[in-house]
Amino acid sequence: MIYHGEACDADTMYVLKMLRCWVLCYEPTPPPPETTAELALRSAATFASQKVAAYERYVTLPDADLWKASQELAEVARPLTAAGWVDEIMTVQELIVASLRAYIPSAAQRVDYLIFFAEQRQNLIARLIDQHRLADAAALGPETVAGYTDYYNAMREVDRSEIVRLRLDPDLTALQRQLRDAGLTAEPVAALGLLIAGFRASAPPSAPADRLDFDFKFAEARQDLIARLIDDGRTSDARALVNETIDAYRQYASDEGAKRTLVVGDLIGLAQLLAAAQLAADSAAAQQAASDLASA
Amino acid sequence: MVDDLTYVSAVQRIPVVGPDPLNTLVTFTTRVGELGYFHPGSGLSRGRAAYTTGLTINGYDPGRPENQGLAHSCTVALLGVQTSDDSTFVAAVDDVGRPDPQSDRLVEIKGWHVDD
Repeated sequence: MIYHGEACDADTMYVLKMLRCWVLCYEPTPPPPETTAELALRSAATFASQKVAAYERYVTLPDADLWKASQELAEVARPLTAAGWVDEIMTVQELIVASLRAYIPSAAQRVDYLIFFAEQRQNLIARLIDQHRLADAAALGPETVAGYTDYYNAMREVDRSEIVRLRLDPDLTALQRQLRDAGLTAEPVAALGLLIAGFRASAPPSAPADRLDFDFKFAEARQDLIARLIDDGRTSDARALVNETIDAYRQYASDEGAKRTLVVGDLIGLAQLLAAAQLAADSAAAQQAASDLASA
Repeated sequence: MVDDLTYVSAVQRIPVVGPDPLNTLVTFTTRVGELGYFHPGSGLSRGRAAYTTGLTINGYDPGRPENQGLAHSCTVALLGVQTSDDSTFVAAVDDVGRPDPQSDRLVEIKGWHVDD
Protein backbone atom coordinates (compact mmCIF):
# COMPACT_ATOMS: atom_id res chain seq x y z
CA MET A 1 0.00 0.00 0.00
CA ILE A 2 1.45 3.37 -1.01
CA TYR A 3 0.23 6.73 0.24
CA HIS A 4 0.99 9.62 -2.07
CA GLY A 5 0.04 13.19 -2.77
CA GLU A 6 -0.14 14.96 -6.08
CA ALA A 7 -1.17 18.39 -7.33
CA CYS A 8 -0.75 19.99 -10.70
CA ASP A 9 -1.93 23.09 -12.56
CA ALA A 10 -1.87 21.25 -15.86
CA ASP A 11 -4.69 19.10 -17.16
CA THR A 12 -2.73 15.88 -16.95
CA MET A 13 0.37 14.64 -15.20
CA TYR A 14 2.16 11.38 -15.90
CA VAL A 15 4.07 10.00 -12.93
CA LEU A 16 6.55 7.15 -13.15
CA LYS A 17 7.47 5.33 -9.94
CA MET A 18 9.94 2.60 -9.17
CA LEU A 19 9.14 0.00 -6.53
CA ARG A 20 12.13 -1.85 -5.11
CA CYS A 21 11.09 -4.78 -2.96
CA TRP A 22 12.33 -7.88 -1.26
CA VAL A 23 10.39 -10.80 0.12
CA LEU A 24 11.76 -13.47 2.47
CA CYS A 25 9.57 -16.49 2.06
CA TYR A 26 9.27 -20.25 1.89
CA GLU A 27 9.12 -22.07 -1.41
CA PRO A 28 8.69 -25.85 -1.66
CA THR A 29 11.46 -25.92 -4.27
CA PRO A 30 13.92 -23.18 -3.35
CA PRO A 31 16.50 -21.99 -5.85
CA PRO A 32 19.61 -24.16 -5.93
CA PRO A 33 22.62 -22.98 -3.95
CA GLU A 34 24.62 -20.38 -5.80
CA THR A 35 28.02 -21.31 -7.09
CA THR A 36 30.93 -19.03 -6.29
CA ALA A 37 30.77 -17.72 -9.85
CA GLU A 38 27.03 -16.99 -9.62
CA LEU A 39 27.50 -15.21 -6.32
CA ALA A 40 30.28 -13.09 -7.81
CA LEU A 41 28.10 -12.29 -10.82
CA ARG A 42 25.20 -11.20 -8.64
CA SER A 43 27.44 -9.18 -6.34
CA ALA A 44 28.98 -7.34 -9.28
CA ALA A 45 25.54 -6.63 -10.74
CA THR A 46 24.24 -5.39 -7.40
CA PHE A 47 27.25 -3.08 -7.01
CA ALA A 48 26.76 -1.77 -10.54
CA SER A 49 23.04 -1.21 -10.08
CA GLN A 50 23.72 0.92 -7.02
CA LYS A 51 25.72 3.35 -9.16
CA VAL A 52 22.97 3.98 -11.68
CA ALA A 53 20.91 6.43 -9.61
CA ALA A 54 24.00 8.57 -9.03
CA TYR A 55 24.68 8.73 -12.76
CA GLU A 56 21.03 9.56 -13.44
CA ARG A 57 21.40 12.60 -11.21
CA TYR A 58 24.87 13.52 -12.48
CA VAL A 59 23.96 13.74 -16.17
CA THR A 60 21.29 16.33 -15.39
CA LEU A 61 23.86 18.75 -13.91
CA PRO A 62 24.70 21.75 -16.12
CA ASP A 63 28.45 21.04 -16.26
CA ALA A 64 28.23 17.26 -16.39
CA ASP A 65 30.86 15.56 -18.55
CA LEU A 66 28.43 13.53 -20.64
CA TRP A 67 31.17 11.90 -22.69
CA LYS A 68 32.94 10.52 -19.64
CA ALA A 69 29.68 9.56 -17.97
CA SER A 70 28.45 7.64 -21.02
CA GLN A 71 31.71 5.70 -21.25
CA GLU A 72 31.63 4.87 -17.56
CA LEU A 73 28.01 3.81 -17.86
CA ALA A 74 28.99 1.39 -20.62
CA GLU A 75 31.27 -0.25 -18.04
CA VAL A 76 28.44 -0.25 -15.49
CA ALA A 77 26.29 -2.10 -18.02
CA ARG A 78 28.73 -5.00 -18.37
CA PRO A 79 28.08 -6.79 -15.06
CA LEU A 80 24.36 -6.11 -15.43
CA THR A 81 24.42 -7.73 -18.85
CA ALA A 82 26.42 -10.67 -17.54
CA ALA A 83 23.87 -11.21 -14.77
CA GLY A 84 20.90 -10.74 -17.11
CA TRP A 85 19.29 -7.90 -15.15
CA VAL A 86 17.18 -6.70 -18.04
CA ASP A 87 15.43 -3.78 -16.38
CA GLU A 88 18.61 -2.25 -15.04
CA ILE A 89 20.39 -2.80 -18.36
CA MET A 90 17.60 -0.95 -20.15
CA THR A 91 17.84 1.96 -17.72
CA VAL A 92 21.59 2.23 -18.23
CA GLN A 93 21.39 1.86 -21.99
CA GLU A 94 18.73 4.55 -22.32
CA LEU A 95 20.81 6.82 -20.10
CA ILE A 96 23.91 6.29 -22.25
CA VAL A 97 22.05 7.10 -25.46
CA ALA A 98 20.36 10.16 -23.95
CA SER A 99 23.70 11.44 -22.65
CA LEU A 100 25.41 10.94 -26.00
CA ARG A 101 22.53 12.58 -27.83
CA ALA A 102 22.97 15.68 -25.69
CA TYR A 103 26.75 15.74 -26.03
CA ILE A 104 28.57 17.86 -28.60
CA PRO A 105 32.02 16.36 -29.27
CA SER A 106 35.15 18.32 -29.99
CA ALA A 107 36.75 17.91 -33.41
CA ALA A 108 39.36 15.60 -31.91
CA GLN A 109 36.69 13.38 -30.32
CA ARG A 110 34.35 13.26 -33.30
CA VAL A 111 35.39 9.93 -34.83
CA ASP A 112 35.42 8.15 -31.46
CA TYR A 113 32.12 9.76 -30.58
CA LEU A 114 30.42 8.71 -33.82
CA ILE A 115 31.26 5.01 -33.51
CA PHE A 116 30.54 4.90 -29.78
CA PHE A 117 27.17 6.59 -30.25
CA ALA A 118 26.24 4.30 -33.14
CA GLU A 119 27.22 1.19 -31.18
CA GLN A 120 25.34 2.31 -28.08
CA ARG A 121 22.18 2.92 -30.12
CA GLN A 122 22.64 -0.56 -31.56
CA ASN A 123 22.94 -1.95 -28.02
CA LEU A 124 19.72 -0.18 -27.12
CA ILE A 125 18.01 -1.69 -30.17
CA ALA A 126 19.13 -5.14 -29.01
CA ARG A 127 17.81 -4.53 -25.48
CA LEU A 128 14.48 -3.24 -26.83
CA ILE A 129 14.11 -6.35 -28.97
CA ASP A 130 14.91 -8.49 -25.91
CA GLN A 131 11.94 -6.83 -24.20
CA HIS A 132 9.73 -7.27 -27.28
CA ARG A 133 9.51 -3.48 -27.81
CA LEU A 134 9.86 -3.88 -31.56
CA ALA A 135 8.30 -0.54 -32.53
CA ASP A 136 10.75 1.34 -30.31
CA ALA A 137 13.63 -0.69 -31.72
CA ALA A 138 12.50 0.00 -35.27
CA ALA A 139 12.23 3.72 -34.55
CA LEU A 140 15.94 3.78 -33.70
CA GLY A 141 16.92 1.96 -36.90
CA PRO A 142 17.29 4.83 -39.38
CA GLU A 143 19.35 7.06 -37.10
CA THR A 144 21.59 4.17 -36.09
CA VAL A 145 22.39 3.32 -39.70
CA ALA A 146 22.95 7.04 -40.33
CA GLY A 147 25.29 7.10 -37.33
CA TYR A 148 27.41 4.30 -38.77
CA THR A 149 27.43 6.10 -42.13
CA ASP A 150 28.68 9.29 -40.45
CA TYR A 151 31.41 7.27 -38.77
CA TYR A 152 32.40 5.61 -42.04
CA ASN A 153 32.66 8.96 -43.77
CA ALA A 154 34.73 10.42 -40.93
CA MET A 155 37.31 7.62 -40.59
CA ARG A 156 40.80 8.01 -41.98
CA GLU A 157 41.50 6.35 -45.32
CA VAL A 158 44.49 4.53 -43.88
CA ASP A 159 42.30 2.88 -41.21
CA ARG A 160 39.50 1.85 -43.53
CA SER A 161 40.47 -1.74 -44.39
CA GLU A 162 41.07 -2.86 -40.81
CA ILE A 163 38.07 -1.01 -39.35
CA VAL A 164 35.70 -2.34 -41.99
CA ARG A 165 36.84 -5.93 -41.45
CA LEU A 166 37.20 -5.96 -37.68
CA ARG A 167 34.64 -3.44 -36.41
CA LEU A 168 32.03 -2.51 -39.01
CA ASP A 169 31.59 -6.08 -40.24
CA PRO A 170 30.53 -7.56 -36.87
CA ASP A 171 28.57 -4.42 -35.95
CA LEU A 172 26.62 -4.07 -39.18
CA THR A 173 26.09 -7.80 -39.65
CA ALA A 174 24.45 -7.93 -36.22
CA LEU A 175 22.57 -4.67 -36.80
CA GLN A 176 20.96 -5.82 -40.05
CA ARG A 177 19.67 -8.94 -38.28
CA GLN A 178 18.35 -6.88 -35.36
CA LEU A 179 16.59 -4.43 -37.68
CA ARG A 180 15.10 -7.35 -39.60
CA ASP A 181 13.86 -8.79 -36.30
CA ALA A 182 12.32 -5.40 -35.53
CA GLY A 183 10.28 -5.66 -38.73
CA LEU A 184 12.26 -3.29 -40.94
CA THR A 185 13.30 -4.10 -44.50
CA ALA A 186 14.87 -0.96 -45.99
CA GLU A 187 17.24 -0.21 -43.09
CA PRO A 188 18.91 -3.66 -43.10
CA VAL A 189 19.63 -3.11 -46.80
CA ALA A 190 21.13 0.29 -46.00
CA ALA A 191 23.29 -1.19 -43.23
CA LEU A 192 24.67 -3.91 -45.51
CA GLY A 193 25.02 -1.48 -48.40
CA LEU A 194 27.32 0.60 -46.19
CA LEU A 195 29.34 -2.47 -45.21
CA ILE A 196 29.79 -3.61 -48.80
CA ALA A 197 30.74 -0.11 -49.91
CA GLY A 198 33.36 -0.23 -47.16
CA PHE A 199 34.74 -3.56 -48.38
CA ARG A 200 34.82 -2.33 -51.99
CA ALA A 201 36.69 0.83 -51.01
CA SER A 202 39.21 -1.05 -48.85
CA ALA A 203 42.57 -2.35 -49.95
CA PRO A 204 42.66 -6.05 -48.98
CA PRO A 205 45.15 -6.79 -46.18
CA SER A 206 48.56 -8.10 -47.18
CA ALA A 207 48.92 -10.74 -44.45
CA PRO A 208 47.55 -14.06 -45.83
CA ALA A 209 45.35 -14.89 -42.83
CA ASP A 210 43.89 -11.39 -42.76
CA ARG A 211 43.33 -11.51 -46.51
CA LEU A 212 41.37 -14.75 -46.17
CA ASP A 213 39.29 -13.26 -43.37
CA PHE A 214 38.62 -10.16 -45.47
CA ASP A 215 37.53 -12.17 -48.52
CA PHE A 216 35.26 -14.49 -46.54
CA LYS A 217 33.52 -11.69 -44.67
CA PHE A 218 33.08 -9.70 -47.90
CA ALA A 219 31.44 -12.72 -49.59
CA GLU A 220 29.14 -13.38 -46.62
CA ALA A 221 28.15 -9.70 -46.48
CA ARG A 222 27.03 -9.92 -50.10
CA GLN A 223 25.03 -13.04 -49.35
CA ASP A 224 23.36 -11.24 -46.43
CA LEU A 225 22.55 -8.31 -48.70
CA ILE A 226 20.95 -10.66 -51.24
CA ALA A 227 18.70 -11.97 -48.46
CA ARG A 228 17.74 -8.50 -47.23
CA LEU A 229 17.10 -7.21 -50.76
CA ILE A 230 14.70 -10.12 -51.26
CA ASP A 231 13.01 -9.23 -47.94
CA ASP A 232 12.65 -5.67 -49.23
CA GLY A 233 11.06 -6.83 -52.48
CA ARG A 234 14.07 -5.80 -54.58
CA THR A 235 14.53 -9.11 -56.35
CA SER A 236 16.26 -7.74 -59.44
CA ASP A 237 18.84 -5.97 -57.26
CA ALA A 238 19.38 -9.23 -55.39
CA ARG A 239 19.88 -11.15 -58.64
CA ALA A 240 22.51 -8.66 -59.75
CA LEU A 241 24.68 -9.71 -56.81
CA VAL A 242 24.38 -13.49 -57.17
CA ASN A 243 27.13 -14.23 -59.70
CA GLU A 244 29.54 -11.87 -57.98
CA THR A 245 28.89 -13.58 -54.65
CA ILE A 246 29.33 -17.10 -56.03
CA ASP A 247 32.58 -16.04 -57.73
CA ALA A 248 33.78 -14.53 -54.45
CA TYR A 249 33.14 -17.80 -52.63
CA ARG A 250 34.91 -19.80 -55.35
CA GLN A 251 37.89 -17.43 -55.28
CA TYR A 252 38.13 -17.61 -51.51
CA ALA A 253 37.85 -21.41 -51.48
CA SER A 254 40.71 -21.71 -53.95
CA ASP A 255 43.16 -20.12 -51.52
CA GLU A 256 45.34 -22.11 -49.16
CA GLY A 257 43.84 -22.11 -45.66
CA ALA A 258 40.27 -21.32 -46.71
CA LYS A 259 37.44 -22.81 -44.66
CA ARG A 260 35.89 -24.78 -47.51
CA THR A 261 33.32 -26.57 -45.36
CA LEU A 262 31.88 -23.24 -44.28
CA VAL A 263 31.80 -22.04 -47.88
CA VAL A 264 29.90 -25.12 -49.00
CA GLY A 265 27.38 -24.52 -46.21
CA ASP A 266 27.01 -20.87 -47.16
CA LEU A 267 26.48 -21.72 -50.82
CA ILE A 268 23.84 -24.31 -49.97
CA GLY A 269 22.12 -21.67 -47.83
CA LEU A 270 22.31 -19.21 -50.72
CA ALA A 271 20.80 -21.78 -53.08
CA GLN A 272 17.91 -22.39 -50.69
CA LEU A 273 17.36 -18.66 -50.22
CA LEU A 274 17.22 -18.08 -53.98
CA ALA A 275 14.95 -21.08 -54.52
CA ALA A 276 12.52 -19.74 -51.92
CA ALA A 277 12.50 -16.44 -53.84
CA GLN A 278 11.58 -18.30 -57.05
CA LEU A 279 14.99 -17.58 -58.59
CA ALA A 280 15.54 -21.09 -59.89
CA ALA A 281 18.44 -20.43 -62.27
CA ASP A 282 20.38 -18.48 -59.68
CA SER A 283 19.66 -21.12 -57.09
CA ALA A 284 21.00 -23.80 -59.42
CA ALA A 285 24.19 -21.83 -59.95
CA ALA A 286 24.77 -21.58 -56.20
CA GLN A 287 24.01 -25.28 -55.74
CA GLN A 288 26.43 -26.17 -58.55
CA ALA A 289 29.19 -24.15 -56.91
CA ALA A 290 28.52 -25.90 -53.60
CA SER A 291 28.70 -29.31 -55.33
CA ASP A 292 31.91 -28.41 -57.14
CA LEU A 293 33.61 -27.33 -53.93
CA ALA A 294 32.33 -30.28 -51.95
CA SER A 295 33.74 -32.74 -54.49
CA ALA A 296 37.05 -30.92 -55.02
CA MET B 1 -5.63 8.50 -10.88
CA VAL B 2 -6.38 6.29 -13.84
CA ASP B 3 -4.59 4.55 -16.68
CA ASP B 4 -2.14 2.61 -14.54
CA LEU B 5 0.72 0.98 -16.35
CA THR B 6 2.96 -1.55 -14.65
CA TYR B 7 6.29 -2.61 -16.04
CA VAL B 8 7.56 -5.77 -14.44
CA SER B 9 11.28 -6.29 -14.27
CA ALA B 10 13.39 -9.34 -13.67
CA VAL B 11 12.89 -11.15 -10.40
CA GLN B 12 16.01 -12.40 -8.60
CA ARG B 13 15.62 -15.51 -6.44
CA ILE B 14 18.38 -16.08 -3.91
CA PRO B 15 18.63 -19.21 -1.75
CA VAL B 16 18.93 -18.44 1.98
CA VAL B 17 19.11 -20.56 5.10
CA GLY B 18 16.51 -19.40 7.56
CA PRO B 19 15.21 -18.16 9.73
CA ASP B 20 13.62 -21.57 9.52
CA PRO B 21 11.57 -22.48 7.52
CA LEU B 22 12.16 -19.53 5.18
CA ASN B 23 14.47 -20.52 2.37
CA THR B 24 14.15 -17.96 -0.42
CA LEU B 25 14.95 -14.27 -0.66
CA VAL B 26 13.37 -12.64 -3.69
CA THR B 27 14.34 -9.15 -4.83
CA PHE B 28 12.62 -7.34 -7.64
CA THR B 29 11.80 -3.94 -9.05
CA THR B 30 8.57 -2.87 -10.61
CA ARG B 31 7.95 0.34 -12.53
CA VAL B 32 4.52 1.86 -12.29
CA GLY B 33 3.27 4.60 -14.55
CA GLU B 34 0.11 6.56 -13.86
CA LEU B 35 -1.68 9.22 -15.83
CA GLY B 36 -3.61 11.64 -13.63
CA TYR B 37 -6.26 14.16 -14.63
CA PHE B 38 -6.54 17.40 -12.66
CA HIS B 39 -8.79 20.40 -12.40
CA PRO B 40 -6.77 23.63 -12.16
CA GLY B 41 -6.68 24.96 -8.64
CA SER B 42 -7.92 21.77 -7.09
CA GLY B 43 -4.98 21.68 -4.67
CA LEU B 44 -3.08 18.75 -3.30
CA SER B 45 -4.87 15.47 -3.41
CA ARG B 46 -3.76 12.56 -1.29
CA GLY B 47 -4.57 8.98 -1.84
CA ARG B 48 -3.41 5.43 -1.46
CA ALA B 49 -2.70 2.97 -4.16
CA ALA B 50 -1.92 -0.71 -4.39
CA TYR B 51 0.11 -2.12 -7.21
CA THR B 52 0.50 -5.62 -8.53
CA THR B 53 4.16 -6.58 -8.68
CA GLY B 54 5.81 -9.13 -10.89
CA LEU B 55 6.38 -11.60 -8.07
CA THR B 56 4.72 -14.97 -7.81
CA ILE B 57 5.74 -17.04 -4.79
CA ASN B 58 5.96 -20.61 -6.00
CA GLY B 59 3.71 -22.98 -4.12
CA TYR B 60 2.34 -20.27 -1.84
CA ASP B 61 -0.45 -21.45 0.43
CA PRO B 62 -1.58 -19.15 3.25
CA GLY B 63 -2.89 -22.17 5.12
CA ARG B 64 0.52 -23.73 5.56
CA PRO B 65 2.48 -22.78 8.69
CA GLU B 66 5.72 -22.30 6.78
CA ASN B 67 4.11 -19.38 4.95
CA GLN B 68 3.21 -17.51 8.12
CA GLY B 69 6.64 -15.99 8.71
CA LEU B 70 6.84 -14.24 5.35
CA ALA B 71 8.70 -10.93 5.64
CA HIS B 72 8.93 -8.15 3.10
CA SER B 73 9.97 -4.59 2.47
CA CYS B 74 9.36 -2.15 -0.33
CA THR B 75 10.56 1.34 -1.17
CA VAL B 76 9.19 3.66 -3.82
CA ALA B 77 10.98 6.41 -5.71
CA LEU B 78 9.57 8.90 -8.17
CA LEU B 79 11.49 8.35 -11.38
CA GLY B 80 9.92 11.09 -13.43
CA VAL B 81 6.99 13.42 -13.89
CA GLN B 82 5.66 14.74 -17.18
CA THR B 83 2.93 17.35 -17.37
CA SER B 84 0.78 18.39 -20.29
CA ASP B 85 2.31 21.89 -20.09
CA ASP B 86 5.09 23.65 -18.17
CA SER B 87 3.02 24.46 -15.10
CA THR B 88 4.09 23.72 -11.55
CA PHE B 89 3.40 20.45 -9.81
CA VAL B 90 3.86 18.61 -6.55
CA ALA B 91 4.25 14.88 -6.33
CA ALA B 92 5.47 12.85 -3.39
CA VAL B 93 5.30 9.38 -1.93
CA ASP B 94 4.44 9.73 1.74
CA ASP B 95 4.46 6.23 3.09
CA VAL B 96 4.94 2.69 1.91
CA GLY B 97 3.91 -0.65 3.26
CA ARG B 98 1.45 0.24 5.98
CA PRO B 99 -1.28 -2.30 6.43
CA ASP B 100 -4.40 -1.78 4.45
CA PRO B 101 -6.96 -0.36 6.92
CA GLN B 102 -9.59 -2.41 5.20
CA SER B 103 -7.68 -5.62 5.74
CA ASP B 104 -5.96 -7.37 8.62
CA ARG B 105 -3.19 -8.60 6.37
CA LEU B 106 0.04 -6.71 5.75
CA VAL B 107 0.40 -7.96 2.22
CA GLU B 108 -2.46 -8.82 0.00
CA ILE B 109 -1.60 -11.83 -2.10
CA LYS B 110 -4.03 -12.66 -4.83
CA GLY B 111 -4.37 -15.64 -7.04
CA TRP B 112 -2.00 -17.99 -5.26
CA HIS B 113 -1.49 -21.44 -6.56
CA VAL B 114 -1.60 -24.36 -4.13
CA ASP B 115 0.41 -27.43 -4.98
CA ASP B 116 -1.37 -30.74 -4.51
